[in-house]
Amino acid sequence: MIRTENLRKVFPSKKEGSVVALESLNLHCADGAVYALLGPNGAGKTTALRILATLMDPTSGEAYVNELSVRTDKRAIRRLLGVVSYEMGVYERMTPREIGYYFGRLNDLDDRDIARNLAYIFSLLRMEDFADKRTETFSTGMKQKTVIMRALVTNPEILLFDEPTAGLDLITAKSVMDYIRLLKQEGKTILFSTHILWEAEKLADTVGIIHRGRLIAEGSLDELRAQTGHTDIEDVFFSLIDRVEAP
Amino acid sequence: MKNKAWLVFRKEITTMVRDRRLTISVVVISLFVMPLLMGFIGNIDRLTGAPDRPVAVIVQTGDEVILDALAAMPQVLILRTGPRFEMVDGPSLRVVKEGALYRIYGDGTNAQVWRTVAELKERIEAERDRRVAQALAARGISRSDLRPFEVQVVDTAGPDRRTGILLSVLIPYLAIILLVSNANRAMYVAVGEKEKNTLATLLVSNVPRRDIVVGKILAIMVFSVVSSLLLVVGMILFANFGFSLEGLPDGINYSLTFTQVAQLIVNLSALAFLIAAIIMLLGTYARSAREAGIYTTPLLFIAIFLAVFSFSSTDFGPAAYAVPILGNALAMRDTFLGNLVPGRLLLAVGGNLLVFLALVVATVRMYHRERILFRE
Repeated sequence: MIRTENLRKVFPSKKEGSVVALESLNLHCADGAVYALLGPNGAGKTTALRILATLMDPTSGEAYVNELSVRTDKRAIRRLLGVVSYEMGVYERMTPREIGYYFGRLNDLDDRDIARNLAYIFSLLRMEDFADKRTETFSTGMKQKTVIMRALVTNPEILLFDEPTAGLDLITAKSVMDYIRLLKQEGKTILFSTHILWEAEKLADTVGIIHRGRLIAEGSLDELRAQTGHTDIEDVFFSLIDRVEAP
Repeated sequence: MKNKAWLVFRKEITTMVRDRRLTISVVVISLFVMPLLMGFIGNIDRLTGAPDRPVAVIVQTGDEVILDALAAMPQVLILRTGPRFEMVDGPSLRVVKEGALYRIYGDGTNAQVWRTVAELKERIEAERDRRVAQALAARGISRSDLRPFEVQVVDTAGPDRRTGILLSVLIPYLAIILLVSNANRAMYVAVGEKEKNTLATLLVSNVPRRDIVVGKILAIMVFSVVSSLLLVVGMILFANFGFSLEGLPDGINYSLTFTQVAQLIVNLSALAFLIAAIIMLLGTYARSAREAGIYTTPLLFIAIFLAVFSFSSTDFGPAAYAVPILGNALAMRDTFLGNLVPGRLLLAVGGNLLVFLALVVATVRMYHRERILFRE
C-alpha cells in the first residue's frame, strides 16, 4: 500500500525564492492495485514519485510505503521497491545480464535467484536476443526494457513507474504496458505516472489527477466519469483541470 | 553476501577497462607517447642531427694571446674587423683588451656560446700561468715559493647522493602531477552516474551511500596508480633503449633500499587515496564531466604549487609534514636523500588519512543531499 498525508515539497529557487512542487498531496494506492497519477508536464508527478522512492525528503507531510515512513525507513522501503523512470539511463559498457546481476547482488540476492529472475524477465520482455550485448548501441526501446529489467530483477512487491512509455515507439510502448498488466495480474502494487490518458484508462484501478502540485481528483475511472458527467477520459481530465483553472 | 563497496569497485573498473578510448589512451600515452616525448626533448640535438654552427668571435685587437688561444679552437670563426656584435647572425662573442684586462662578452643563455667563452677564458689563463712560470724561472724563483700549498675540495656525497638529490626534486613533483592528472581522467566514475542518469537507480538500491562512495574512490585510486605506474614502466623501457634524460648523471645506478621502497609505497598510497577522494568529492558535486573539469584545474595548480616545495632543501619542521600533498612531497624528498624520520612519514600519512576521511564523510553527506544529487 502507498499513501501520502498532506505531502508538501518546496524547492529553493534562485529566481523565485522557492517553488512549490507539491501541496497537500493525499493519495492512496491499495495493495495489489494499479494507481495512475495523471497530470500535465510540471504537475509534480516526478517529485511525488521521487519522494516515494526515498530519493527526496518531503518538506512537510508524510508518505508511507507499506506503512513504512519515507523519512525514517528508507532502507526498508528500498527493499520493497522497483523504480522505473523515463529519464533513467543504463550503463553503456555493460550488458543487460551484467546490469541485472549487478543490481541483484547490490540488493542482496544470490546468483541463483538472479539467474532465475532474469530468465523470466528476458523472456517476458523479449530481451533474449540482446541480453548479452552491451547497451551502448541499443535503441530507446531496448534501453527502456533494460531499465525495467533492472527494476524487476529483485522481484519487488511495489513498483513505481514514472512515465514508463515516454519516448517509446508504439510497439515498444504497448509491450511495456502489456508487461505492467502482467505485473498487475501477479498482484504487484503499481503506481505509475503518465500524461498519456489511454494508458491510465487501460490499466488503472484508481486514477489521481494532479495539477500544479495538488491532487484535484482521485477515484476509479467510473467515479470520475460520474463526477464530471463525461464518458471520454480526455473530457474527464480537461473538465477537472478546467474546474481548478476557472476564476 | 558480497561486500557492496567491492561490487561497486568491480563494476567501475570493468566499465573503465571496457572504455576503449580511455584504455588505449592510457596504454599508448603512458607506454609510448610520453616517454617518446620526454626522450625527444632530452635528446633533441642528437636526434635532429643539426651540427653546432661555428661561434663567431669578434676580436677588436691584434693581441697574440687571444689569437693564439682562438687558433686552437676549431669551433670558432674569427672576425677581426667584423660587424657590430649585435649584427652577427648566429652564436657569437666579443673579446676586448683593456690594459691588462681581457673582457669576454657572450650570451650566457646560449649553451654553445657559454662553452666557448669558458674554453677561451681557460686558454687565456693557461697562457698567463705559463708566462708567470717563465718569469719566475728567469728570476730563479720556484713556482712552489709563490704557491706553497694547494687547496682541494672533495665532495663526499658521491654520485649516489647527488643522484638522490636530483631524484628528490624530480620524483615527488612528477608523482603528484601524475596521480592528480590520472585520477582526473577517472572523473567519469564520480560524475558519470549523473551524466548518464543512472544515479537514481543506484540510490534506490539497497546499498549504503558509504559503500558507493568507497567503491568509487577505490576505482579512481586504482586507475590513477596503475596508469601512473604504466608511465613509469614506459620511461624505464625507453631509458633501456639507449635514451637518457637530460640532467641525469651518466653511468650512475641509483638503488633504493627496502626501507626506502616501503616508505615510498606507504607515502604514495596515502597520497593516491587522498587525490582519489578529492576527485570523488568534486565529481559528486558537479553536474557533468565538463563542470567537474572546471573544479579540477585549480586542484592541479594547488598540487603543483605544493609539490614545488619539495625543490627546496629547507627544513620546514614537522608541522609541514602534516599538510596533505606538501607533507607527501617533503617525505618523498627525505626518502630519496635517505634521511626520512619515521615520525615525519607518520605525520604525512596521518595528515592525508585525516583529510581523506573528512572527504569521504563530506562525499557521503553529499550523497544524502537531494539539492546536490538532483541539482539542475
